[in-house]
Amino acid sequence: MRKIIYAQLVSLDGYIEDRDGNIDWTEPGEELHRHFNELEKNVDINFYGRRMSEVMDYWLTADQNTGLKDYELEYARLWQQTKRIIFSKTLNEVKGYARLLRKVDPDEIRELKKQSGNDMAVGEADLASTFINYGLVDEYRLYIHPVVLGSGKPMFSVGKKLDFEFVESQRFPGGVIMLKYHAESTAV
Amino acid sequence: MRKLKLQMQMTVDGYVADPNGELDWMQWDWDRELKQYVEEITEPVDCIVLGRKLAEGFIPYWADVAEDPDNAEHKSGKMFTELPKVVFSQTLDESKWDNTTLADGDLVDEITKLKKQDGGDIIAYGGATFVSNLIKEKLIDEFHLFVNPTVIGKGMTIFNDLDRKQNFNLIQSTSFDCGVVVLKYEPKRS
Repeated sequence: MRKIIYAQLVSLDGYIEDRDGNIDWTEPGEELHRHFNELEKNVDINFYGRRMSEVMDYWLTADQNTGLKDYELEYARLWQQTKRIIFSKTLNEVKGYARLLRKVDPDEIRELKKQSGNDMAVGEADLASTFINYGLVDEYRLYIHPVVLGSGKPMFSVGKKLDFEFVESQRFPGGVIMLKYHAESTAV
Repeated sequence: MRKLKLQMQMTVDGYVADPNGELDWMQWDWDRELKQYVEEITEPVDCIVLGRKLAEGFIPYWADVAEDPDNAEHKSGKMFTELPKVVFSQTLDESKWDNTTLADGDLVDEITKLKKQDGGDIIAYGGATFVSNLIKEKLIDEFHLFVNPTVIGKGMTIFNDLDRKQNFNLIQSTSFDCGVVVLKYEPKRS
């Protein structure tokens, strides 16, 4: 079965954005960028909510910018080739290799998991909460940065207990540590 | 100057206790290597600092364990009971515990005074409020955060009192078979 992965760059105290919505404390270096490129190669579908899809649309044309580093160009191309499923009640159209759905139907997502193919990734905290509550997320990757923010947007806002199975960790330059967990049981 | 270390259990979502201060969510089944890790950071310690709330539970609990040779944690009980302790409180008049003194002055002054004394490492285990204050005042020199493989959704934190971010250096990350990952950090001093 294909996995759904929820990955985030996160502060040590569990936030993905500071109280002003900034992510300038993340600054992924080259090694982390290349790592995400490898991850993207193994992802067939990116699930986004409206807000994240609008932010990520940057990558639709980013490769036209000659100022990009080679690993950013590679990411742009990989990302453009990865199908997006965007959940929004308000958008009327989506650009590029993407499909628009009005809401998350867990049975529909489970059907996708049963199909052959690579893994899928859910990229937005609020959407991830919905997926987690339906028992759809199989793997969690926290890229923990050596900073505490005090407040901000949390990575997890499901409001309930989740037990994980620790899989592995990987260290990146700049003191970033990735912790990978599997969901203990994917609810039916 | 002596070093103040923090050893604290944490969830993946950054909590150090549930809303009632309980640690039921903790990974209790520690493997031998994790126990050894704790032994190594505790070995150079000759002073425990605690907030009053934690002290009220911690000190009598370990005193009882120290009295019971059949208890699996008897050795820890004796160690915690015999180690000199300093309880930070502005409400207690006198220490009702053995090997324990009170500190009722300003937190920064009291901790600095302790650090300037001759001696080994100082360690803090909690409680959440006391540690939040230590962190806010940048008094901790070394963090050992035991990340347990669980998300609890809500609870007590030690970093929420900050009104500006703090940067750290990741010194070491150690994974253990029981699923706990210990992250060791030092504050980045500008």
